[in-house]
Amino acid sequence: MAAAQPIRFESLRPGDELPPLTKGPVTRQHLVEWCAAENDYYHLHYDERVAERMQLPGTPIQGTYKYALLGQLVTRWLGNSGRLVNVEAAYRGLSLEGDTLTCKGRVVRCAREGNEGLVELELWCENSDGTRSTTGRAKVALPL
Amino acid sequence: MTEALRELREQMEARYNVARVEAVELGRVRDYLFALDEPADIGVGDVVPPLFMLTLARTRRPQPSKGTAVKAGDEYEFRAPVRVGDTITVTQRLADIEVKEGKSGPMYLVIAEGEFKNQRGETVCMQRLKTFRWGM
Repeated sequence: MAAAQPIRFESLRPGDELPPLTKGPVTRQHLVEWCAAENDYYHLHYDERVAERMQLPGTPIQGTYKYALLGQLVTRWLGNSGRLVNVEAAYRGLSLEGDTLTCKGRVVRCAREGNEGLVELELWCENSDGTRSTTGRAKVALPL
Repeated sequence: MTEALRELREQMEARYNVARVEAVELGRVRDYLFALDEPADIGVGDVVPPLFMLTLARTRRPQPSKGTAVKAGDEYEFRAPVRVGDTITVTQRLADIEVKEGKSGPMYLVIAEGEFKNQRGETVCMQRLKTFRWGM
């Protein structure tokens, strides 16, 4: 999905927020489709008996799914205005099947480098109760 | 170095210290887009979403013989577009194993790094993977 309007480097300021991205409630179907998408079938993410044996309160959502959502948050905002340079995530807490996830981000730094404007973003993913279960950072490059 | 750490290092070297060749197949890219509720109107030659790279070179084998694993974090840097139909060679290596003290014994933070090159030898992506392992 392309951004509604082009993102211009000159118009960005630290503190600017990205349009949030909401997914959910995340169902077992989402978890299994993500197993297929990322080509990883770790049973913890679709068999609640495994989660029970690990004394978890439910079936966890894959960290990489939340990572991909953070990437989607950035690329939807960016559209065709520039390019994603890098993105990283730290998986800090559980999100469980049934949670509705909301991914958010904001601009933390803008700098000119050569003929590009580099924009650093702070990213995070919230569970239904507002807990930040995944945090991250990204850098995008925009033409000047 | 403890016996457990030595054994883990051997397993992780077998897991990561190999090069894998992956075709960027249209069906797999569609699966990725479907899973994220994105439009799947993509064809051969089109640029794939940057984080599609995380689906390549997944190391399902060999599985560690014991213990538990939880991913701690991922980092990807994108250097050139990847298109449906490209062939990507992923060269990974075990970078480090850090020993942490957990509540019920040692935990190991396994750090691996990878470089992705396309069929023309161009580096398109770099990765850094962090996984906690314990109970071995």
